Amino acid sequence: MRRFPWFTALVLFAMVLAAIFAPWIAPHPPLEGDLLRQHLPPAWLPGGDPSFPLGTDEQGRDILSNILYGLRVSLSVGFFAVIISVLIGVPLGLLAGYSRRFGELVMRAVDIQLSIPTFLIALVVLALWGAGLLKLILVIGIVGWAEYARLVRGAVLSERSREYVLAAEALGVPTPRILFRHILPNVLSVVLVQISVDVPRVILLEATLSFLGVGVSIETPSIGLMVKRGMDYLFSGIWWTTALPGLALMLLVLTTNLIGDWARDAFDPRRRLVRS
Amino acid sequence: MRYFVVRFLQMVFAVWAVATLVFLFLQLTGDPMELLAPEDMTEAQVEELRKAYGLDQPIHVQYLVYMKNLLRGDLGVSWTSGEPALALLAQRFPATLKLVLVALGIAILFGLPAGVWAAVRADSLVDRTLRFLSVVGISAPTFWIGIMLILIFSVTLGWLPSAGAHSWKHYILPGVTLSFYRIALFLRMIRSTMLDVLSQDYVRTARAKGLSERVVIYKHALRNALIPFVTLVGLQFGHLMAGAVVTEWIFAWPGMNRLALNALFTEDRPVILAFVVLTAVIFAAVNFVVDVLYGLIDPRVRYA
Repeated sequence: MRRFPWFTALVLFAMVLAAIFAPWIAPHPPLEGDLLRQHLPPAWLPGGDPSFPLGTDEQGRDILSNILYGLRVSLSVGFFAVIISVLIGVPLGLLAGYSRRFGELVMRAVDIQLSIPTFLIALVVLALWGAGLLKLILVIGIVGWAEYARLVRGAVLSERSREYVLAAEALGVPTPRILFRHILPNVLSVVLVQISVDVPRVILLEATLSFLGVGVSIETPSIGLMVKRGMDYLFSGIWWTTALPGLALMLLVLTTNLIGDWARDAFDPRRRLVRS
Repeated sequence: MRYFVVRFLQMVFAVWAVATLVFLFLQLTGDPMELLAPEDMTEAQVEELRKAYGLDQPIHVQYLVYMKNLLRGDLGVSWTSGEPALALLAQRFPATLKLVLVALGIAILFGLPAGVWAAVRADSLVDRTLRFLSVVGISAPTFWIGIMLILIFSVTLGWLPSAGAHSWKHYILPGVTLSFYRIALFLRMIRSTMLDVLSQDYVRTARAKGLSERVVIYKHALRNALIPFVTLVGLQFGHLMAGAVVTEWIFAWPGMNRLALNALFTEDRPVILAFVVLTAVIFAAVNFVVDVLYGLIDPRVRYA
């Protein structure tokens, strides 16, 4: 087994802490601007101001503080949306694996859901229903159920023919008890691996939707929105309003992915790499 | 044969379900007259307009009309330009297709050899470096990659254009942006299947009978690793055709994804609907073709 990536975990942990405690450690309120100090470069460049370490945007808002608050949004979307997907997908997958009829029904629904890219569904729904953090979490969360249902159903089907389940059935243990007490713990590793793939994917999805202007609302500090606004000033040579927030986001997703890779190696001996 | 028929019917069913769900969803998003009717219209004029669009009919009648038109390839008329929605998308289709093919080409060109290299040198420094780079590749937000490329190659160096599709030079930045994630994806996939294949008995036999390492890797191992790879490339093609929204937007690409995004912002429902249905059709068709190919190459699939 591969060694646990301590350094990566440490970086991720630091970023999560920084995001959680953003209100206490951010040097400035994220949305407080001052047109007298717009587009200050990062502190290490000529013209920079040490109290704005990563510079300011077109309204004079502190980039560092916005990144910290933005990571908070990224992480909460990643966390809560995936929880919603798990809460819908796992029970459906369990039942689908146990009842043949219901299983067919669920698999057809999965087929329909997966016949359109998740990104497109979220884009259309949010563009027509309006942006907002809560809507974003709900939409991404609900749309993500299918993958969990499919994986859990598959895992249940292969667990069902094992001796311990047959024994429990022969002893007359009620079905719900078999499902939740006996089978669920054994398919959990599949779910954990999928979660580790899903969290970084959802974080990128949030950033992309916000970048297109249909994610979180404009008053919410968000990495995607910062990059979107910074794009208007690219050709004036203002690079820090787009480059730095994106870099921070990439570091967050990168560390999450590296931990996920480790988790996959550690928990899933079959190492399914291929995703459709 | 039965396998293909079943797959085909499932595909048709999925497209029908998507078309129905989008129709229902659009019904839920409010009265279209608020968008269609100018502010100063009288009540009577609004009703006149409603009739003209067939929106005065009960929902089930509207649905039947919609389905009937759908079967004839008629997906309604754009509310903003007045042209048929499908024709608008069809005009923009070639630009998107070319961009996607360029991106897939770049991704295969770099991802495939890099994946083979990493697998052959498993756990060496080369492998570890490539593997790390591939995680970086799947972690970078596409919109950010695009903007960084513009910043470097258009703003700072002034080498490449950042908007439009006028010459071959215009393909480079959006093509690279779109391929970035896929290079990493292909690398990871080829590496892991190659590792699988290289541990198989027939590879050991090939080595044992004294074939050169080059022949073993390229003729015996790679050929077998390519089967799942073709599937992945096919699926990525589907994803890209409807997933180039961000790239087309950043680079002002005259493709159908940007058209669809504009339709979303102006709530041009017929165009949105046409785009989603078209995407479902492309997706289903790609899946079907991939399945059929897979069934032809690998007979085990048909009996599974």
